[in-house]
Amino acid sequence: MPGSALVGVNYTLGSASLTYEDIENRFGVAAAAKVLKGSGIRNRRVAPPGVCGSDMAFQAASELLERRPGMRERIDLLIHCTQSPDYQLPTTACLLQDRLQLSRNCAAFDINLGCSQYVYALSVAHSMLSSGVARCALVTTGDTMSRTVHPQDRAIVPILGDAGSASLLVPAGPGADEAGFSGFELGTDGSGAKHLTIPAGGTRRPLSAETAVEVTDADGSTRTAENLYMNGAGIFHFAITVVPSTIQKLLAKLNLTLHDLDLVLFHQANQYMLDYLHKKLHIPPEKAFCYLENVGNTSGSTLPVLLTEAIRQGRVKAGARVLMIAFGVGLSWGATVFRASPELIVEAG
Amino acid sequence: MSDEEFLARFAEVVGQEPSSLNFSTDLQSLEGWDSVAYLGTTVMIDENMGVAVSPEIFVDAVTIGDILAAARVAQE
Repeated sequence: MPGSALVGVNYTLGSASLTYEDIENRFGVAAAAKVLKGSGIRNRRVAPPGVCGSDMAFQAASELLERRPGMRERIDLLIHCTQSPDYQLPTTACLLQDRLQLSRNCAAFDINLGCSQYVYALSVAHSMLSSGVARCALVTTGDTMSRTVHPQDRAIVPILGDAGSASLLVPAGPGADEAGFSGFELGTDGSGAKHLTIPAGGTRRPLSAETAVEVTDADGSTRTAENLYMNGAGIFHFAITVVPSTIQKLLAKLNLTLHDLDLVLFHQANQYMLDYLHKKLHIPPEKAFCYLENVGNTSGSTLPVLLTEAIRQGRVKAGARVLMIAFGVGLSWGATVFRASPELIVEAG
Repeated sequence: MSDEEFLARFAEVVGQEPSSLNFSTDLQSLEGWDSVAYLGTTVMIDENMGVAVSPEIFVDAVTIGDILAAARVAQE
């Protein structure tokens, strides 16, 4: 059975900024310094009013397809990843199929996951390409999670940014030395859903006067049940337990070790967590790469943003073996290993 | 990890002199005891005791001794 390979990746950041000075003005000098120390995030790129996650995905995809004449017509699978869709329905992927002028013979659907969305979408695209259901896949991500946060939530406002991305996948050969995906490791622990959630606004708890009531917690953060809530300690505990074990499982499944990898890319949650994961897993600096200080945590888009930047900064060469792992809301996680194709390096560079 | 080592490492996390702390110290009396300290304490315990403690211990613990006791239970 043939595999699949990434042959293009691109991203678009929110065009507005939430700067260090903005955080100082909103939460105080000491709070801003504390956030920078704890998260490693100085500035954030956020979507301005009126811009949806799909708009950033559209821009990233348009730029990518303009560089690849003839590719637009070949795409027969579009997977859009978002937790901030344009509408309740239809699914945002259908709207993107039309905006991007893709074929009507193109399957299009959304994946509603957060931080882990990119790896999940890659695994689905890989499966559909490998089985022959699809022959050319476009995977897009796009979220505006910064808008789900209460402006006076001092725990999350300083963390989140907005971005969109686009990735192209095509079938690839089955050889171990060939470019393409080697395997995936996916997982879920729904018992931890309470750690990262927007409690109200769905069918379980519809919007009401009660859900709009503001509550200020012991740390001085204000939010309503309609805003994003994050238990930072809960997520941190989840990450430092599930990430090492997932990487170990994936590498064992592929009969690889850390020495066989050229680069390990983590979901860009916060620098404190990343530094500890690198240390815990004994990942040396030459195999690590971070990109969040002036971008923020862009939820499910952090990995395609990170991969694109790693390529542009010369950290990924053709043939390089890269591990990507994402984890977050759900709780949900996914990891993959792939060899970088020459086309990927050219298209992202 | 001995009790004394734990106390010294915990003092580093919350930015206090070890001599100013003991296992009966009320966590809420510590200026540096906040969400960032939760993460620092989690890392300190994971690194030195080999166990990732549940975040619930930070909600339930009243004293520094409560955290060490919870970490010891998690080790078992």
